[in-house]
Amino acid sequence: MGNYGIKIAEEGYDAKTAGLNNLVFHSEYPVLKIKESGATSITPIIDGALHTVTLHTHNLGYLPVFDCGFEYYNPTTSVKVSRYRYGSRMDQGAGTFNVYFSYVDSAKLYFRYSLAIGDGSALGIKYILYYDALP
Amino acid sequence: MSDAGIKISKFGIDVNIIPTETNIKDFIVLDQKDSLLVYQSGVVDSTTTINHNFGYLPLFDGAQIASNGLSGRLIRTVGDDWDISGDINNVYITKNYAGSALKFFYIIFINE
Repeated sequence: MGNYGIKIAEEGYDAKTAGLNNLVFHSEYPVLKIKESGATSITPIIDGALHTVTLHTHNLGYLPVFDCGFEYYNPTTSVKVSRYRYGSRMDQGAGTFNVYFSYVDSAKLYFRYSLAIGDGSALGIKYILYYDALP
Repeated sequence: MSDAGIKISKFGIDVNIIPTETNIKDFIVLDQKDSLLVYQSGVVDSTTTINHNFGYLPLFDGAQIASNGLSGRLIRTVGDDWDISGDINNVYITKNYAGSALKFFYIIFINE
């Protein structure tokens, strides 16, 4: 950082000398700026094959940072769990696998899954997109 | 943006440019746009329920703190030793294997 900018330190630290891990804000490092968040649901196909669903069209023209949370099936009982997990998951049942993950391209956000076990109930999905670009 | 607020652009970018959908990424801070706010973070060594009572599902994340050859590293697990999930009232951290000595780092954001 040059001799300009903004640094805010945690309580008890001097902003002029504090390490990065003790700063609340440092104007040299971008904060993630939220573009939008949303929710939808899917009624998945339980056949063990890979399926892809378009969740949202962002049209940013670059790959944005994002995250995606989703309800899931108990891999042992096949019953839907009404809690959300973020990121990607692979659940192992009795000789079976359920896989969930999401990805983006420069125009859209997608959810992809391969489910071998599940009661077929609709799964809620929530997502968040940022303006900040993936490197 | 009105004539009040905070804009900080990245090095080499004119802070006076008008923010558009495709150049907002060139700003360090733009007070027109929400940013992530940390509600709580910590380390647990057993199954834990964290009550937030937001009434909405917040963003959260977690990672296993490794030991042995990967000591000091955080590992994004895929349903192995630890699981983290949430709803509108709680974030649930589950230790799947009681014998594991590993710990788990979590972070919960205020953002929906």
